[in-house]
Amino acid sequence: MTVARGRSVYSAGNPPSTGLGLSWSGQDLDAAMNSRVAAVLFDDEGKADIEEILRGIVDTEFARDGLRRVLANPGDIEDWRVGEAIAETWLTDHRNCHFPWSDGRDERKRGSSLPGADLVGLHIDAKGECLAFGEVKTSSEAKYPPRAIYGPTGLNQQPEGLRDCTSVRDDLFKYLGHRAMGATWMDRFRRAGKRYLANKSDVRLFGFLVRDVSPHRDDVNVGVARLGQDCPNGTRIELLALYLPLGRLQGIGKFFVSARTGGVP
Amino acid sequence: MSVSKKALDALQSHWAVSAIGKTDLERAERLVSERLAHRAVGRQIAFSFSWRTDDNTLLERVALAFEVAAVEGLEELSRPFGDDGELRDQATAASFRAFDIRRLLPVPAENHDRLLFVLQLSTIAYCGDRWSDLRRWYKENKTALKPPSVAGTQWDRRLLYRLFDCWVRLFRKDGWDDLDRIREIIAGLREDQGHFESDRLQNDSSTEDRAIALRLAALYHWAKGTEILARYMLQGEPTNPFSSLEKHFEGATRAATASGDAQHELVLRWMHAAARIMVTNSLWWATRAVNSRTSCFVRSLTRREHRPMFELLPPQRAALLEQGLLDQAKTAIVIDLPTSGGKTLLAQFRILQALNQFNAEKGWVAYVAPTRALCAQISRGLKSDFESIGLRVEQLTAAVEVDAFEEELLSETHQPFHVLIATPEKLSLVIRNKKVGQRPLALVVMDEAHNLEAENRGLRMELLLATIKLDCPLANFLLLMPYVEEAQSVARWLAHDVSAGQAISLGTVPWKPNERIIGLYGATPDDSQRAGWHLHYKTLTATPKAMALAGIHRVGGVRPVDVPKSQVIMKGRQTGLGLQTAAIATVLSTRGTSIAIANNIPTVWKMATKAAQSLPALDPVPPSVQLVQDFLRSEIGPSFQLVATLEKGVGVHHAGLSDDARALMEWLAETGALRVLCATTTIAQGINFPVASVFLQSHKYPYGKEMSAREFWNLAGRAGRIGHDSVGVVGIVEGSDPESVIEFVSRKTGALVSRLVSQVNELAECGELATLSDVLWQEQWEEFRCYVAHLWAQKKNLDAVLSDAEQLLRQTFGYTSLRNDPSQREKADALLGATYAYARKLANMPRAVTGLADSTGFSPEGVTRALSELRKLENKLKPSDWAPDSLFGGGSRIADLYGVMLSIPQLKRQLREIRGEGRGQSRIAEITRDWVNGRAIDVIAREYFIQENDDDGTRAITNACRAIYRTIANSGTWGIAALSRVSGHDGLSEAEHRRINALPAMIYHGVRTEDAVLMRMNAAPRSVAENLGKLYRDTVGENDDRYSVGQAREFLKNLSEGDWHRARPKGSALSGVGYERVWRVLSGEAAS
Repeated sequence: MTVARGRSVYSAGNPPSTGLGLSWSGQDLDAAMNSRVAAVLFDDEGKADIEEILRGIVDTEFARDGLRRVLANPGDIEDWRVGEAIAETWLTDHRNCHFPWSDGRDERKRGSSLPGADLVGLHIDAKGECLAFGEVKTSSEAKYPPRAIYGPTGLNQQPEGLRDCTSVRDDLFKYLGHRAMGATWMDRFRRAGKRYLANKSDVRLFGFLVRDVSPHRDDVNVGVARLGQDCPNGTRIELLALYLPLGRLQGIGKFFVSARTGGVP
Repeated sequence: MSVSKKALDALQSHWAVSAIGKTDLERAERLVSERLAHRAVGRQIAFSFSWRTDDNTLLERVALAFEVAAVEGLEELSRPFGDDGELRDQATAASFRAFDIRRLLPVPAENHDRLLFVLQLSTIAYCGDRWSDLRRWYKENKTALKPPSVAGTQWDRRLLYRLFDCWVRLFRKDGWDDLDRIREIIAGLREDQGHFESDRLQNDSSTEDRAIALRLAALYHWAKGTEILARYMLQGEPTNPFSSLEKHFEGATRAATASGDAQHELVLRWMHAAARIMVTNSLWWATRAVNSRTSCFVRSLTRREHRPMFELLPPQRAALLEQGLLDQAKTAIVIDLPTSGGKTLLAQFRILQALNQFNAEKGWVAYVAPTRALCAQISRGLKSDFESIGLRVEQLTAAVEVDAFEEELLSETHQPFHVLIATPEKLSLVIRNKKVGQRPLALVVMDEAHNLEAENRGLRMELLLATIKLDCPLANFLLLMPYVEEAQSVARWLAHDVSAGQAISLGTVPWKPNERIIGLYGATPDDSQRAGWHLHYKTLTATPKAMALAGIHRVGGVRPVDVPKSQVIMKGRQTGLGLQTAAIATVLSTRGTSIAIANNIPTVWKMATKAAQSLPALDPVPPSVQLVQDFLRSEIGPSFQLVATLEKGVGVHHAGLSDDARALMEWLAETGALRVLCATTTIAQGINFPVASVFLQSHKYPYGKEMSAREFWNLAGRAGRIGHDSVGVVGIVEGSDPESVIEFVSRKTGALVSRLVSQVNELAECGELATLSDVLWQEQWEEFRCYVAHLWAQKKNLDAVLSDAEQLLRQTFGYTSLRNDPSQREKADALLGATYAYARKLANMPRAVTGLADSTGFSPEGVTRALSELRKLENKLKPSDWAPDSLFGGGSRIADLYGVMLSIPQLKRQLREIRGEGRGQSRIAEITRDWVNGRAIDVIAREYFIQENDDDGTRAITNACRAIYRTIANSGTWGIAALSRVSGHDGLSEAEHRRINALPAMIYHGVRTEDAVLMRMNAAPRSVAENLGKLYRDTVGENDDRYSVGQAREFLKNLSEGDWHRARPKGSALSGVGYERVWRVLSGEAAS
């Protein structure tokens, strides 16, 4: 079952850089959370065996107590991770995207040594498969645009980095290549890879803003315009803003954990 | 598994590579060559390449395609071989190609990016079998390797930076200490953990804390894996490190994956593969199952100060691990390896294996090299490598005579030698006369064995191997040669049975010691100056043995050597080719030693003089150069021209120098102390050290004979030092017929052809095959006659010889090749017929003749002639005439002896070059006497060789050196020794016999006493040898036990600085310490 596309509330820009505002009802959100989003967040199969990792450290002759303390408690799911899971499912269902592995199944890479992308995968357009990269921000701030848009890790800057910095895309491409070996999506990756190697700008970039405030085009307008300037030939960029019902983001991670463990949200 | 051409070809159809498009791939390939050339030689050669601004983008894209292809097989490289060979080959080949490009791309400036770039490049290099290229890149990019400061950095960064430091050490392997430091670094990190870890785990977000914790877990595993790998590289322990390495790299990868850090994960996967490959490349791994002697040797290689060695080059690894170099069942192995591909180490391992196999029987190994210069080089190398593990290495002189001291050395049983180094001629005498007693010959190593096809001595070498096959049935064979196709046929010939021959053909593998540029150079008029000219260099694309670069490029400035245009371009034609060669060698010398080659000695001197005039003085003159200058002043004379050219870093190397002087030139070139080495074409047969560039004034030997393609490429292969130059530069002067030079360069090297076959073919071509028996008396068949005579000497019965004749011929490569080819049957029959006929002829000669032929090395005809000439002497020689005091004193009979020698075919050609007028042969006799009596070379030169227009006496010195070192030391000693045997000395005491047997050695070494001979045999310079000999006699006493080469060596080793000072001749330019230093270099006691 796909998640709801949502109601269009505004659109902006022209190819290669466009923007779209969408609104989800409470029902849309509940349906998504009970099915696809939860599956992304709680992918047990892909989850690392923390205990095994901790056991192995003994042989390194480094002390492991500090790490054990931190890793012992899985903790809550932070709200922004739910935002990412929503973005991933939405792009999969409505933009012909395939993200082979979900960030939800890994520990988060905030502070990671890799300046990468939140979502890394494939997209199908009229010419077939191509690489797709996505950045996701979640914000309840009643400002348009919210502060999450700005700064080096903001939603304006990061897609721009992915657009302009080939080394980041190259690293992600190689990593996909490694993961693709023997995977069901290997042939799709190779088709996308051929396009990428023929033209390294032939990629699809998504900026995805998850909001729980009233929709406003100012959330994407500036970014769309900026990303459209000097956009390399072949790159298509879309900034999406998905508006959830007011106030639904706060505590949404906790809600998920409680729901999963059978507690009352 | 080494990268193969097949795997590289297969890459072209890989989805990622083919996505680039053919045109772009070709352009990228061209760019790689051009950039590499530009980077390596751009300061000296102004390349006329056209580059575009988007070239980097293209190169990045192509590198990425290869990397993706490599990444697909990364898992395979991290596992034991066997799961998916194709994918593994793909990963190796793709890494090989990716490295080609990545090494040319700029290193990022930002620390973190720089670290990852270096680690990525290094791991790609290992996965692509390019570690030797990587080490070179490390040398050229030292700033890229600097670990960032850890001050004030967070714990995870601190770990990363420290691990980076460790891995730089692991990749560059600068020596034992460099690697040993890794242990301390990792131990330091464990201590630091307590101080820094907890802060790093206190972030605002528990998710972030968890991500960091997982990253730290990955780094801890990585650190442990690093420690295990470093320990293995240093000590070879644990014997199998793979399970531990796997555990920690997999643990690290698992934690990195869990932390969601794709980049870290991928780096670790590459590191894992590189770690595994580093282990399999290591000397420890390749020799783990061999024997303790080999382990000791490996340990000494890893610990030596000069050029420590930890891992094998890809062809070495392939030979050892994949192609059965140490398989005892393989009795004959032929290795076809690119020049500078590391043949010597392979020979060393095989030697150790053979010594071990024949340990109980005290087997010995013969190492044969074609020239005495090469013998001396090998001797120095083997001594310095083997003596530390208790093996005794001895070199026989190049004199065609086993003298008294060598007899003692060969028959010594108390501390017998293990490895004997000799020329083919000398070994032939040793084998035919069974000089080593009952000890079995375990292995014969023949270096530069492609000389088997050489016109002048190929047959001798082939028949030596055939004799060994006959006389030493247990002997194994190892032939080392470059650029020989179909080496299997040579291996089969030597093997005991069909399956025991192994050809290890690695000459055409994609791996190269370094890249190579080849081109033609010439002079171009340059009107920017009066009588101006400059050099141009036209790169050639005609051969796969060099980078395909097109264009004509300018080299250096106007008038690179100070001569006017008219001396290099005359009426539009190229002239002064030696000057042009000196000029280009001079310009290119700024990147390392250039060799400038001419086909005659006067041109070599002219080149050296001009090159020296054009170069600024060395400031300061390195101590090693000063040492050699002092040596030349002491040994040859203070005004010797080479002393002056060395002041500018210009050396010479030709037959007009003593062995010692040439060895010192090689030493200077090898250690990079020379800018230019000017040499004759004959260096092609003896050079065994790499240089940066090689330039040829001619590809022909004196008298116009062309080098073979194999000889040329062997020489060209010396251009490029494996640890230093990514590109070796080779040039041939274009002269007036550039097309013929281009045709020469594009010739194929082909399979090895027996000289015996060539000689039979020559007859067949003239329709004279049937006359073979009639022409057997000719000079080129002399060796063949000696070979048959040897059988006679053993059988002494015509019927037995006739019945064994075919068996005798079957031992030769030539006859075997002809007999095995039905179309050549007629030639084989002719050879057999000629052998029968010659055997019958021998039956009619006096019985002693064949025995004397064996013991003297003369042909039976030469022995007969010598006997007859000795009989003709008016005054018969008495035993007392042979005493050294008599022979080298006044009124001696040495001139009579030279008269006899001049009638003997094998001697007369050389001796005629320096004999005086008339039958008295007084000139050559006097030179010999003066030489033995210790007169300096420059004195002899002035006395006998001075000519008009030779103001500085260089020509006289050259001619004196040639006369002494080439003619007298070879033919003179051989003749004296042989005649002394032919004369017979019945009724002499043992001491008198010994003294007479020492005569050739005295002539060879230019000293008068037996003690001095012992010093010279142990590489003491001639000018100090008599004094050292006296000191030796005084020290050990006047008993006959002292005539031992080994004892004399121990004496020299134990001399103090004061002893050397005392032995130093008064007024010598060399100090006592200087003498000691020279001795250490020449004897191989000190690594260069």
